[in-house]
Amino acid sequence: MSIVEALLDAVRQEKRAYPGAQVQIVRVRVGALRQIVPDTLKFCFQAATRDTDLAGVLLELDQIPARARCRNCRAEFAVEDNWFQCPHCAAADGELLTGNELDLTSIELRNPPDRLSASV
Amino acid sequence: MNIKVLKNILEANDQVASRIRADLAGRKITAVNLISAPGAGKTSLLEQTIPMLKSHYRIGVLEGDIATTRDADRIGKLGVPVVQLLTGGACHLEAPLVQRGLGELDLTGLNLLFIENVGNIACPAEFDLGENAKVGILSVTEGHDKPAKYPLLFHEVAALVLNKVDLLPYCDFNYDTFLADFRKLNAHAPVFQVSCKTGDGLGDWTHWLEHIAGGEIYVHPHTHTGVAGVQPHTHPHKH
Repeated sequence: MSIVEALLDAVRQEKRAYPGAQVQIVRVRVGALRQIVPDTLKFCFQAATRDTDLAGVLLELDQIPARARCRNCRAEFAVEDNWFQCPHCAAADGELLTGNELDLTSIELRNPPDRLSASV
Repeated sequence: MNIKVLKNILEANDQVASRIRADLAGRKITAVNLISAPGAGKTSLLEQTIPMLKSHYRIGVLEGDIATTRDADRIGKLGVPVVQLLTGGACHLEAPLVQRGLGELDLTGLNLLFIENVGNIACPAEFDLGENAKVGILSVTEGHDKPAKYPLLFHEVAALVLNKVDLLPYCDFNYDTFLADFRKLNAHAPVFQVSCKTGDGLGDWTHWLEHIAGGEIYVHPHTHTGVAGVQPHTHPHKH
């Protein structure tokens, strides 16, 4: 729930530049190593936006698989079941490349005000 | 109209955490974020650890809980400054609450700050509090499968305290399975087998704390080298 609240703060902050516009879609990128359950995040998002200026907004999640680079043999590998063990040399010393994301990536707006839309 | 944003959702938390880290570094205070499930022994570990270090280090404690000041009351009896942080329902600490807590704590002359997180091994791992090291505490009664089930915490910790080892004969905890799983997540963090009941193993743990105390070392589990995950350092103590 704190993550949803932080997300809504970020969305409202972006929205402020477009007075009168309605948010339709919020897109979020979530790395596989984040302990985010997509359905739970969507449920919390719905609950937190009900009866607010963001009611009815669709939350789209883009899930990013986890990949790591072995510090021993430099091979890149998929982090499966969250293990950091290198499948090539068996060293358990992977440096995370992707999978730790928790980012607001874009917002879809309807009715952006004309005078501001020209500048974006 | 589509607006590209690309903004870390926890950026607000992380910015406050960075400020805390810089402030504590300036004061040469080492902060340790203690994370475990409820009942694994975070407060008991502090009750054992603080008297062992108190004569050489000035210690402060931030106690995170959902409700009640029971843990702060226990720590207050040890004669060190303690501030209770009440999350009012949240299952983890966030950096702004820690910052407010630090405002209540007299930081003058402190070397070592313990932040006891809310009992939970999932969410606390997600929130940077500006600490130098996250330390996980697992008790043997919780089972050896916890690293596999809660990988983020075990990946993030700079050290792991395995508590209640006096109960090993009475439970099905398989140390070898636990360690093999843990090592696939975290190649270097030292594991300290302790019993806060009998006092066994606490010397190695406090020795490690003495190594990291001083406030200038950021102990990330995956970058340090040397025996038991200790950075090259000068010795404030005798071996």
